[in-house]
Formats: sequence, C-alpha cells, structure tokens
Amino acid sequence: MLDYIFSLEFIFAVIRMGTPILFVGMAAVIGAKADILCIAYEGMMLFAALGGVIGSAYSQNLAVGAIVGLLAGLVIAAIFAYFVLYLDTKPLLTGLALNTLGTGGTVYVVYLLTGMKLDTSSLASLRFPTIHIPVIKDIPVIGSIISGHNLLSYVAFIMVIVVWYLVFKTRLGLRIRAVGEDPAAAASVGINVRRTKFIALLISGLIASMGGLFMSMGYMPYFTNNMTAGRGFIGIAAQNLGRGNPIITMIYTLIFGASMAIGNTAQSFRLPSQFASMMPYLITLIGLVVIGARNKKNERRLHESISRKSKV
Amino acid sequence: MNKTHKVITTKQIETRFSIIRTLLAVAIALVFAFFLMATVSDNILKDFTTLLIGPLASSSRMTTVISKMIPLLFTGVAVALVYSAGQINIAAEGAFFAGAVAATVVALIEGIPAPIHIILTLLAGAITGAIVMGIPAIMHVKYNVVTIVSALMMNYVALYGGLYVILNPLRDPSAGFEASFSFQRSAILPTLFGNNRLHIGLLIGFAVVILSSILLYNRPFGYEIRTVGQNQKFANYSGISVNKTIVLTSLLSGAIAGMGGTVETLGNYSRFVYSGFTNHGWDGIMLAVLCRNNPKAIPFAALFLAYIKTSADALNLTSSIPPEIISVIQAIIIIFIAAERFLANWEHKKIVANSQRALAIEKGE
Amino acid sequence: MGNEKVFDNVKIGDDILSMENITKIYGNGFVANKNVNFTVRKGEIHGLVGENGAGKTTLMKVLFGQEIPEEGRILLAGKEVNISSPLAALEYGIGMVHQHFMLVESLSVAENMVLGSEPVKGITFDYEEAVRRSTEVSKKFDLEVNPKAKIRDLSVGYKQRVEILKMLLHGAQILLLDEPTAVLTPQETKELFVQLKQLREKGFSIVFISHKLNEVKDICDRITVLRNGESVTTADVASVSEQDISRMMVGRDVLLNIEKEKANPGKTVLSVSNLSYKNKFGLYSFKDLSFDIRSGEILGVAGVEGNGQSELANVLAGLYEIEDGDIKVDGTSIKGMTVRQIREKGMAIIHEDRMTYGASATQSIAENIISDRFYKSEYKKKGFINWKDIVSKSKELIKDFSIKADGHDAEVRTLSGGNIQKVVAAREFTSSPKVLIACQPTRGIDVGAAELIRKKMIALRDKEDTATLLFSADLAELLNTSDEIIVMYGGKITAYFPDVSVINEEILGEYMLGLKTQSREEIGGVVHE
Repeated sequence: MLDYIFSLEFIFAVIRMGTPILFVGMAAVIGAKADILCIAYEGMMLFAALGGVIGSAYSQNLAVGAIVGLLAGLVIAAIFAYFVLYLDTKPLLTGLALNTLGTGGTVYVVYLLTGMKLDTSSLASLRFPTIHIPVIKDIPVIGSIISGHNLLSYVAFIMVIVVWYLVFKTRLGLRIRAVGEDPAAAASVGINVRRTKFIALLISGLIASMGGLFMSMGYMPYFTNNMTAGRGFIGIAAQNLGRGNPIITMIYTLIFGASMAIGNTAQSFRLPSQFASMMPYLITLIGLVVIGARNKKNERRLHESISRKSKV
Repeated sequence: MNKTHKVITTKQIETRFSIIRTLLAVAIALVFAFFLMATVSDNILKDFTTLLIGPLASSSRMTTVISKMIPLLFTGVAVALVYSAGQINIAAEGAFFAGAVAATVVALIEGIPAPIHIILTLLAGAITGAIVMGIPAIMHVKYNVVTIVSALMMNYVALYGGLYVILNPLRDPSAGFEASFSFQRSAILPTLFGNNRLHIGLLIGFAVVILSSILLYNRPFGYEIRTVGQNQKFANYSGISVNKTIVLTSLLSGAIAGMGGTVETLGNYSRFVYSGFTNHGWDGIMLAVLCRNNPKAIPFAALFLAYIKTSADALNLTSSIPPEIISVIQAIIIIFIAAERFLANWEHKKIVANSQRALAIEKGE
Repeated sequence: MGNEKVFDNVKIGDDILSMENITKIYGNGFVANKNVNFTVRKGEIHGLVGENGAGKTTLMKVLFGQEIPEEGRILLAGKEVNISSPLAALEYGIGMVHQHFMLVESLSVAENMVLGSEPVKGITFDYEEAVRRSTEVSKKFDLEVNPKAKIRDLSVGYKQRVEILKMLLHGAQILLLDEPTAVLTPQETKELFVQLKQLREKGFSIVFISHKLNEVKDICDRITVLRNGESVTTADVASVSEQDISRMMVGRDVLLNIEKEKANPGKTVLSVSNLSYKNKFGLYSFKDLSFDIRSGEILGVAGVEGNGQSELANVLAGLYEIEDGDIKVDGTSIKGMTVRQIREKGMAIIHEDRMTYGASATQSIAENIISDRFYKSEYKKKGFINWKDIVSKSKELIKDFSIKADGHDAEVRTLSGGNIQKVVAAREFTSSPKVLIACQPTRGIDVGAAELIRKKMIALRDKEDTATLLFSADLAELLNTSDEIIVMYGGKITAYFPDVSVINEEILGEYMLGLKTQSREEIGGVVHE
C-alpha cells in the first residue's frame, strides 16, 4: 500500500478525486464569507453535470456544453439565493429541497431525453481534454506530476488563486466580507446587502457547477443518477475545516481526495469495498473532532496572543 | 350590533397566513407537476387524475398508502423532536438505515420466542439509531463541531458501515441478489386486520406520535427541549442544562428513527434488501417542516406524503411518467412552505390594517 | 455629491429638512410613529428627545431609509424626496451615526470609511487611495484617526469618531446621532460636543437624540419632543427648562425621588471574596473583588460600561466560570454549581441583555414566567406540567405587574420593551429570592415600567428581606434606589459609600472615571464580616 501512496498513479488519483471537492470547497469559501450556509451544491452540481452532457451531446461543441452546464447550475444557485435572501426561507431547508430536486429532477430529465433512468451513456456527450503542458511535461518526475491532467483540474487549482484574490483584493470581495460579517454596517453605507449576497451566491454556484461539469465530462464520460454522491457536502466540510481560508481549504480537499483514492484501491489490498467508500466520511468526522478539540485547547492561547498584539 | 371588522390578535393573523401558505405551496407544486408531466405524458388529463386520486382507485392502493405512512411516522416525529431542540441534526436518514441493519442482526438469531424477539429487535434498532444521531450531538456540545456537516458525514458512515455488515458476514450467497439471510419467523412483525401489508408497526408508530406529543408539550423535559430550541442562552440562564438536553433529545430522536428502520424492515420484508439510502430520513425533515415540529400533525402530513408517493407508483405503472416527479413536488412544497416572506407583504398589510383598526377603536372609546 | 448645491441654496437658519405626518407601523403591529412632524434648520443642533420607546430611533431610521413609513412625506430644501434606502439617504446628504456602531470589526478604519464608495483600480480595491481619502477627511475636520488600524482594536470613543468621519466622507450634510453619549465617558462626551459645535459652525445640521436632558440643554439649539410615537412639541432650548422638557416627555410630573424607608439590613447573604474572572482573551475583566450584601439592603454598582460589571453579574449568575476566589450564598460556596443549583440557593437574575438571556421571544408569557421553576413539584401533577395552574398563576402575575399583552399565551416578541422587562421581573421577583442581581433593570423601557420595577425591587427588600445588587448606568436611579453604592473602575472596586444620601452624581463621576480612588480601609467597609 505504501508503494501505491508514493506512486505517480496515486498523485493522479488524488487530483482526479480532489478536483470536484476543490471546486465545491472554493464555492463554499465564498458562501461562508457571505455568511450563508448553502448546502445546495449537490443540486447545483447535478444539474450542471447533466446540463453539460446535454449541451455538448446536442451541439457537439464543448464550449456550448460547458455554458449550458454552468447555466443549469446557476439557475439552481439563483433559486437558492432568491428564496433565502428575498423570501427569508431557511437556508438549510432550501438547500435540502434543491438537493432533492437535483437528484429527482435530473433523473426525470434523463428519462425525458433518453428513455433511460440510470445514465446518459446513450448520448454522445463530450469530455474536457487532458492537457499535456509543453516543455514542463518533459521535465523528469515534476513534468509527469504537473502535466497530463484534465483541463478542469487545472482550472480548479487556478480557482484557489482566483477566489483568494476575489475575496481579499477586490471591491466585491471587500463588500462580500462586510455583508457577511456585519450586514447592518454594510447596509448603513448604502451597500445592498441582499444583492451583494446574491452575487456571492451566484459566483459560488458557478464554481460549484464547474465541479459538476467535471463529474460528467471528465471524471466520468456521461451523467449517472446521483453521481455527486455527497461530494457537495464534503466540499463544505473542507471549507469548515479550513475556516474559510482558500489555501487551507484546498489542503483539506486534497486530503479528502487522497482518502478517496486510497479507498478506491482498497479492494486490491483485500479491504471490503464498503470500508473504502466509508473512508472519506469517517476521516472527515475524525478530522472535525480533532480540529474541534484543538481549537478548544488553543482558543485561550490564541486569544491571548491576539489581545497582546492589539494592546501594543 | 354586529361589528363587521373585528379586531383580532396579530398571532391569529399569523396562524391564518401559515395555513394559507401551506395550501398555496401544495397548489403551486401541483400546478408545476401538471406542466412537468405534460412534457412526458401521452394523456395528461388521465395521468394528472392518477396523480390526484390514483391511490383511491383500489383498496390495495389505499393499503399501500397506509403502509407507506408507517415509517414516515417514525422519521417525521424523530426529526420534529430534534428540530424542536433547535438542532439541525440530519442524521435521521443514517439512524433509520442503521436501525434496520441492527434489527436484521438480531432478527437472524435463532431460538428466541416471538414477542421477546420483536422487542429485542426494536431495542437493537433504537440503540443503534440513538448512537448514529447521538454522535453528531456529542461532537457539537463537546467540540463545537457544526452539526449539519457531522450529521451528513454520519449518514454515509452508517450507510457504508451497515452495508458492510449486511453484505459480508450476513450475506446470503444463495439469495441470488445482494441481501442478508432470511429473518427468523419469530422476529417478523405480526400483521393487522388479516392484511399482510399492514403490520403492528402502524400501532407502534401512532404510540410514538402520541407519546412524543405528550412529552413535548406536557412533560418538563419537553418544555426544556422547546426552550433550548427557541433560545439556548435564555434556557441556560434559566437553569436548564442545554448540553444535556441537546444530547438526550438527539439520542431519543435517533432511537425513534432507528425503530422506524426496524419496523419497516421487519414488517415488510423477509430479509434486508436495501442497497442505499431509503430517503425516509429526508422525508422526515420535510414532514417536520410541514408540521412546524409539532408531532401531533405528523400523521396528517405523513398520510399526505404517503399518498403522493403512492400516486407516483401508480403513475409509474399506468404511464410513462417517472416516479421521480415526486421529488420535484416535494422540493417545491418544502421550499414554499419554508419561505417566511412568501405572501409577507399581504400579511403585513393585514396586520397594519388590523393595528390601525385597533387604534381607531381605542380613540373612539 | 451633487446635493451640496441644493444645500448651498439654503441659508443658515432656514429649514433644510422637514418630515410631515410620518406614520410607521412595524410587522408585529406595533405603531412606532403616529403623524410625526419634525423640522431641522441648516446649521443647528436639533435635539430629539423622548423616553425610550417614544419612537425617536424609528423616526431617524425612516429618515435614513432603513424603514419605509406607511404614511407621510419628507421634504429636503423644500422639495419632496423619496428616501427608500440608506444609499438614497446618503445621496441626499443624510448620514446616521447609530447607537451600535456600524463598523465591520475585522476591517481597517480606511476600509470602513470608504465602504460603499470604494476606490478601485480596475477590479482591484485601491487600499492606498482609501487610506489617502481617510487621512484627508480626518485632517479637514480635525478629527484624528489612524486609517490602518483595525476597528476591533479601537476604543468606543475612537470608533464613534470613525463613524462620524465616515458619514462626512460620504458627503453627509445632515448628521443624525442616535444617543451618541450613551457609550461615552464624560471626557469623551465633552470632546464630542466640541466636535459637534465645530461642525455646526461649518453649516452642518445635526440631529442629536438623547434622553439626558442636561446634555440636550448644553448643546442643542432647538428640541422636538416625542411621546408615545407622536410629536408633542418643538421649541427653542433657551425657552424651556429641564423640568418642562421632562414633563413633556412623560406627560406628567416625574417623581425623581422614590419614596422608600431606610434600609434595615440583617446578616450577610451574599459574600464575594477575592473574586477574579478572565475573559476569552485571557485578560482579567475584574480581579480580587470582595464585597458583602446583607439581607434587606440594595447595593448599587456604579461604573462606566466595560469596567467589569457585566462580567461580574454573569459570574454571579453562574453563566461565566470563576477564575479565582469564591462566592457564598448564605455561607455556602456556589463555586462549580450549575445555574439551576445556584437559583435553588435563592439567586434571581435580571440579565442586562433582555432579549437574548432574559426572555425567549418566540415563547408565550406563561412559558417565559415558568422557565426557572417548571420542574418543581408545585408546577407538576403526576409528572406532567400542570398547565391549568400555570396559566392561572400567569394571569395573576400579568395583572400584578400590569403587563400589557393579548393574553398569557401572547408571544413575548409581540410585546414592547417595557412589557418584556415586566415579564422578566414577574419571573425573577416571584421566586422568593434571597439575592437579586439586577442588571440595568430599567434600561430602554418607558417610565411607567421603570417605576413599577423600582417599586417592586424596594418591596422585595422590605417584605422578603432580599439582598439586591443593582447595576445601573442611570446614576439617578442608582442614587434613588440603592442603600449603599460601590464604584467599579478597571475591574476593581474603587469606592464604597455606605450612605447614599451624602453623595451625588458628580462625586460618583470622579470615581467612575478613575480620577479618584478611596483608601483600602474605606473600600474594605463593604465587607461586613
């Protein structure tokens, strides 16, 4: 097993498994900065995954597929945002409802189009290409680690920087942080709190939808029933563990990716497949406890150092 | 003289509007379903009629409605209780599944006389369910872990852990499909009214509804649950142990959901057959929301949900409409009922008008 | 901003803003403003006075676009305007400094100052430009701030300065200040008044909300009095006395002196020795406190907010953990006890945060009244809650405490602030308390409710021999209700006055500000055994 963990194969598997979670993790960072508990990422991802497949299958154009997919995910994000922000619906219930809609609704659409209920393998949908980076790919070891991934995996890592920049360096990011931390203060200087949160949720939904696209147009070659299988939630867990910091969140998504990768190969090490499937969830649980315990212990020390600094 | 414009309390107006909102949500969902079905249906009028009154078409279907209602009574009450304590613990799904698994384990043991065997399976289901929902609660009070995330993860752990037990040590290789060995006869729930689809789970379910309702509104612990759910700081300041209340409520809620899994499995099947989530826990959330966490209302909402689920099955048999239409209907209902400001402007106008009337009367007197 | 021209056309002393027939009804049916008329002149400081709950804040929120009135219109320089949001208000040159500062704690001064009209380079927020603008406005109005400091590190007075500058940076010509002095020390208040007078000289109009009449007399040119949501009158400050204003506010003469007998203290009931508490930042909120309260006396605690009083009350209530030292009730240490155990020892607490701790907004009056006693045998019948009995007891208390409500099952959130506090009192005063911790028991409630609560507190002292610890920011209340007073400054007791009749607000003020401290022996007098 150790051999596997130090193999190139494993690194590839981590990135492949980690990509959708990384997208959701970044989406969740923006949601968290705007102080909205959005759990509707599963629904957004499923619709985006299906939209991408349908768009690309009927147009035979990857860009059209991507746009249709992203729009499908955005519609769910917009419904979420509208209900939560304008109709005061509880975010948890809205998320729950939209995830239900995502699992059931996508199957409905699949059936409508193909007459089948399980997947869209009968549709000739497209996949995002694998990128071999010139020059870099020829560097020994590093080249084979960095090059050769799906296009969207690169987008996912670039997204970490984009999200960091958006949140901490742009005017929109400043406003998102302001409405998230103190909506009344933001409103008192004329910032439209709902609109700002709405925009944040749309951006968040857009990023999560990219994760959905990856599922059906990269990770797998077609859409299958409930294919996100809780990844939307794991991404939220990663954000939670990373306390809203994009970089730390990224590290956690990769840890989840790794545990999934180990899980997937567990059978070859004679571990039951159910154990393998359980891995990422169990690790998240343990991680939450460990971090919770550590935070509790560090709280005083942390606060002491803060207050010392602020006194100076 | 009759007063044509009676002044009523703000609370009465709010109650009226919550009823209007519920009815309107159902109506909107049905209208939406109609158009959605029209895209697939060859005969939309016939199919929509099936959706509306299909379950009433035969006594067998009506039995199905009642039978589908049974597990919902359990998960609905389970979620209503834990939500009453203000805990967004969505591990009822996992508790239900784990309860079914634990019941299976006990149901395979030979040589226990019938009534005791049934009690033991229920106990096993309850304890396992309690553990599944209790862990996120304990993680929350001890380590301040966000319950919704841990409860979600717990669902998957319960699912795959349960499947491991069923499909490895307990798998019946001769079954021809992925399933456990057959239950002992002594563990199977007795039927009611000589109907083989209605089992005593129905009675247990109603008992759970009644007992929970009494607990919540007439027992001191129920008052603690509701007070913690409404305002934790106030509860703490008043001398109620918030953490204890949260953990106990979650354990109780998990036990009820676990019992639901037990009853559903041992009442309807001869071996463990699930290969994934059953969705009963998620349905429980919807029911609790519909009933605003009041256990007394759960049977009505459960009946309604069982009814549309049966409609969906009927549609599946008689038309080309996939039963997933039901999740769309559910999603729409849940979202509109939960939308606090849906119709709020109208409600606000009513309240304002009412206050102005009260003012006018006050001045007139 | 384009509106500056509009303002320029108005001469100093002419009407610049008028609100006509404003009526505002809240979602819960509460009528906050009834046909209110209000006019502000250019270059004046206009006091808006009234009791708490009279509708001052609501009127200002309407003016700042945070609440939309059901009726009425607003004229700016003679032209009707529609102020639908704070953004619109700011564009019309109206800026508001809220009682609770509208500053994002984790952001810097500069970021907060420019929030809403941030400088950008492309899509990037231009931090340097934000700092430059902040410095510029700070220099222009001679109000010094450090643009790069984080808000969470600043003192209250400093934050207020940032708030005022922020509004000026946004182009405000009319400044609305909602009880700006409530959170300030007297020095800070003086400083603020100097700044406000400077702004008046520059032609700015200022609406000054307060219920401290001496301050209003001190700084305002004119006042408008609100009572019960209606505008009673507008007058030149010079032409009315404090008594006049007070009468207009309440609608009758106020009894400033509460009639009470001299206390007849018994033996020590609550004994606090060397008590310390560290906050979550690891700093001592108070250290080494020792004091006693005897049965049948009221010990008042004076102090500027933030000197450890709030933490002390929470520690006594068992809500915060003791760091060091001990608390004894009737000779038994309550260290490590649960809140319920402490309450069973005879402790009752009126929490300063009424809406979060004192009451549960979404539960009924009856449910709020029983929250500390529902589990006791008197309230149960065979293990079940005896609702019938509870309802009838609640009805009695509603009458006894003259709580205005739809009934015992009305949710607390539908009541006014004063009535909510009466519900809290109806619970805490009827548990036969040996010790009563009363924190700001009359803050923000109407005079009638405040009077009732003070009377009931004194009745407890006289009839049930309750030992009361009274925390209040209202010095008049403190001097009138307490039998003895201690002053807290910097987490320590700095003065003890065994006889309240020989002191006044000025004397208390000197100790509250830390200008004076009594000797150890004098302070030690508060430990009776």
